[in-house]
Amino acid sequence: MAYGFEVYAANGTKIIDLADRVSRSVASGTTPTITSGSYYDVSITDMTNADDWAVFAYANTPPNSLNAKNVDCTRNTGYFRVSQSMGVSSSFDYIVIRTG
Amino acid sequence: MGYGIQIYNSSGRTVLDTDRAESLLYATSNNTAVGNTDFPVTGWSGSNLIIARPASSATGTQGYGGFAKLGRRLYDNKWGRGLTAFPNNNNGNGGGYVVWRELKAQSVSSLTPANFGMVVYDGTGTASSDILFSATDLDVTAKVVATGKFNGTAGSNSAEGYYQEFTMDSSLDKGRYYVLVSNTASVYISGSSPGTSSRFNFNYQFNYSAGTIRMLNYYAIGSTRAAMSSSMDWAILYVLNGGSVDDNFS
Repeated sequence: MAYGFEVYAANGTKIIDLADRVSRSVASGTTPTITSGSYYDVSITDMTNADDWAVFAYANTPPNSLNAKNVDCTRNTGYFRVSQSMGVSSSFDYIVIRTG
Repeated sequence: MGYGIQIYNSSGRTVLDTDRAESLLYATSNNTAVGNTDFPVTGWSGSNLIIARPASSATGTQGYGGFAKLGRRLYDNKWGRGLTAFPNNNNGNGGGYVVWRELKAQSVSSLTPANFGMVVYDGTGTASSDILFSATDLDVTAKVVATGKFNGTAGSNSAEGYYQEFTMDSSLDKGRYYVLVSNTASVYISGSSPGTSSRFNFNYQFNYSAGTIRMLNYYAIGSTRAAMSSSMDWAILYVLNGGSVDDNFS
């Protein structure tokens, strides 16, 4: 093979192939409490808005109302931003992964 | 870089790079769950990366066209899709359930690598927390097959709502497709009169018959849907070597 590598499990099943897009853990944590109408930025070295990054964030104390939909998480150069207007304050758990 | 190792896949994406302190994610424990139970399970102390899929029999009567909605009801941290949690006896052919797995970094798995195979460390030492990759500790893996944001424009303002649609590879086992559910959300609010109940969906909808997964992004009042655009990420993964847990269609 000209590039990449292959990994086989002990039972002989190939579990990483030449073309596979694997994911790696970059960071995880919890933001401080964010008040409604505000945002919090988390610095991540090398982060861009490209599709080889993904951030999964969710409120720890969302309201039981339709306002729970008013959450955004945007990736930017060197950081991601969690913003919310849920009508209540909440911290957010987040996980950052990279696939490229 | 002056030393270390970099591995790329055939598309040029990085698989491993010792210049980055990024440890490989792999699939570890698996379990099942039903609607209205704690996400992912009562007393969970594992990682926050949970991937899931419906049981292969989940083609019941609830949801658009009987498709299986899958996600997390945030306000009480339970499996569900708003009012009627998925799955229940109505949408699992009489007994549906969710199959879920934990994704975990090798660096936080307290691994003790074997004295053979390849182990790559991050350059700060050889403790288990320094592991970026350990081949002999890999058994079940999950490769990323699609990512995006909950901002689809396909669909309509009728029952199906708005979504993006992913088509499973028909040559692969549909039971090995999982979605990342940790940041999914749905809410249902009962209206004061019939036809005024409202809800929103940032979650997934499986259709094993058609071989599709939809990423839903809509708000609804009564029977009318409106598209919502979110910057929240979604991901679809394909689990390899999951054994009998996932070999449902092959």
